[in-house]
Amino acid sequence: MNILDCIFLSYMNLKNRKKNVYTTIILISLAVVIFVISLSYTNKFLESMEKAINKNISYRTIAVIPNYETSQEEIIKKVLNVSNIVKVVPQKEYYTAVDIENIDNNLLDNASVSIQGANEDIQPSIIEGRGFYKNENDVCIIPEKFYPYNLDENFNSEDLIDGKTLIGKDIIIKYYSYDYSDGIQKVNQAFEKKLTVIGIYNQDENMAEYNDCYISFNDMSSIISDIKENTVYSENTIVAGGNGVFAIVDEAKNVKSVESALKELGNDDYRVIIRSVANTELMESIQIVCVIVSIVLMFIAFVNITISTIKSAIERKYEIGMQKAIGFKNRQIQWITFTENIIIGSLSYIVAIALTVIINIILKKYIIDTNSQLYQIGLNIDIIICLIALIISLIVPIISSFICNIAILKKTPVSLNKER
Amino acid sequence: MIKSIILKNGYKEFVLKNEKIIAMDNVNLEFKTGKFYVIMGHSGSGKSTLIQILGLLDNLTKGELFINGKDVSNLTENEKADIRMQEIGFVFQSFYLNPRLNALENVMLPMYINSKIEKKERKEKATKLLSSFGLENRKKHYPKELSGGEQQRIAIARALANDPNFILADEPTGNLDIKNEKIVFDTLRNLADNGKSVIVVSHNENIKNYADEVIYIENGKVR
Ligand SMILES: Nc1ncnc2c1ncn2[C@@H]1O[C@H](COP(=O)(O)OP(=O)(O)OP(=O)(O)O)[C@@H](O)[C@H]1O
Ligand SMILES: [Mg+2]
Repeated sequence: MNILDCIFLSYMNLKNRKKNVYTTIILISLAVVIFVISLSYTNKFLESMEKAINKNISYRTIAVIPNYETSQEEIIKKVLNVSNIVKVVPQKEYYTAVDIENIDNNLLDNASVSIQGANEDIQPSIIEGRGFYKNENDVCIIPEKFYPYNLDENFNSEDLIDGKTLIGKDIIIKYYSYDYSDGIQKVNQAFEKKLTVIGIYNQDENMAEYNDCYISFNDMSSIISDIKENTVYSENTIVAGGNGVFAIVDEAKNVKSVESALKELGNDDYRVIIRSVANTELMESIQIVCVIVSIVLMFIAFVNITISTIKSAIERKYEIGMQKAIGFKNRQIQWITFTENIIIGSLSYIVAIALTVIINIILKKYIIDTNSQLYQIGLNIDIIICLIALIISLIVPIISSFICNIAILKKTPVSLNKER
Repeated sequence: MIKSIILKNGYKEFVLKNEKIIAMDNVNLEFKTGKFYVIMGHSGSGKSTLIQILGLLDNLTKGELFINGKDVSNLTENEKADIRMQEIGFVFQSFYLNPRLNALENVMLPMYINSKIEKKERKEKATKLLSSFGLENRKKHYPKELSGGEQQRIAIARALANDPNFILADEPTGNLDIKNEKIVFDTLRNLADNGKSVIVVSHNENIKNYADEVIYIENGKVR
């Protein structure tokens, strides 16, 4: 019996129990559609989230806050011993918020941005203009969609400024030191600094806000020194922190391991704080839920297929009993059944992939808000997941029919004939 | 080489919930080629049991079975399947055809597992067989479009597909009217005349006129 004969005979058997074949194909393909879509979307979505998070240093940053007398130098020394850390930044070079006096000589009212330290190695990817050169100061990088105000409920996406138009233009920022000697906050001194916009980055792909700007670590440092050195405290003021460092990890996925390494190394010298714990945990739980849902669906499909295969055992007894009486060997009958299930599995898979592609096109076109970069990245079908689904859609019918066949093949043609 | 089926001290019992049913008790028989044998007996006497054991569709509890001089009682399932394919053509009362295959395809079915028959020969051989039973115009018909007699002749043609020496039939006319019955009996007699060994179970008295030898079974024993 060669392979073509085998295919012909299995095709004939399948024709014998059309209804059962259709239900099986529908069940498997439904499970495959849900499996491929849910896992592809979450996978691609999480992939792009992770990329975005990787681009944004704040999600890769671990704050190391000293306890008591530990000096910043000591902490930096210790932290530098941990692998996967690309830079250790003293607190004053890291992050603050400043007001904006004017942009390109246009005065702005109540304008402000948050600024974050960066350099030629640690900066978002630039989509237009350029990034930082080595030791470069007095320049800044702004979001592609720029909103130099507080992001409050008055935010309206129509107010976004096109960052492109500001490349090469100057922004004057303003910041203050305070006098607390009377117990209340009074401005002590105001400072101004001119920053030239050199490039823009995509705030969505970087999981950043519309008012997140980057300046050099040096500029950050001098801004914070200006503020600190000119601030007058009252006797009762508790001067908080300022001694901490920020450890920037190479990739977001290493943050957890670096965190525990830091904790182990630190004893009681410092505390370790991750800025974005919730984010990674949410990602992981979304993925776990999707995997569980898909496994449950596959299992339901598997049980259903097995039940319907057992139900069709009456017909199979007829077929197998007859084939055995004619002189078919168990091995030959198994091969025919195997081919039948390969046919069922591949048909289901083809149906499932066709459905998936259609659903994907519909979702892309009509349902998901195409304004958001993140979602566009997420709505793609993952080839690897398609391949896993192919293996599953072939294995499920093979296993379930194998279970039924074992029992039938052991019997003599006579008992098969009698039972039916 | 002698072509024969020989049953020696054949014994078959069925055990049902502590109850033992002896369906064959110390039976000794020999079947030769070129002869028409009829097995007769009351209902429940063990006729089907006997012919199924002769056709290797069921196993003996005790005793020996020789096909063409070879002891087949202790062969593996695969070896038995091979003998069924090459040496035995079995005809059932209920025809046992594949309803989704047409007449020609049903007759071709056993040829798929016979490496001695080449692929291109199958169709020609099956067509010849059908023609010899007067069914050349029925080749493309499906079982449900055919009369009982026609279906049974297709079943006989299928039994002959791999050119076996032994044709075994259990009540082949049980579902047929008198006219079709005669056609089937004539066909079987013809096979015996052409050198086959034909063994038929029946309680139809008419069949005695066709038989070379009638074997009576009673309570699992040869009378
Ligand atoms: N699978 C089985 N399990 C238990 N008992 C069986 C089985 N097959 C046959 N028997 C018993 O063996 C005896 C012989 O049965 P068998 O079918 O050979 O009779 P038969 O002569 O063909 O009868 P009929 O003319 O009605 O077809 C009967 O008593 C029957 O009940
Ligand atoms: Mg009987």
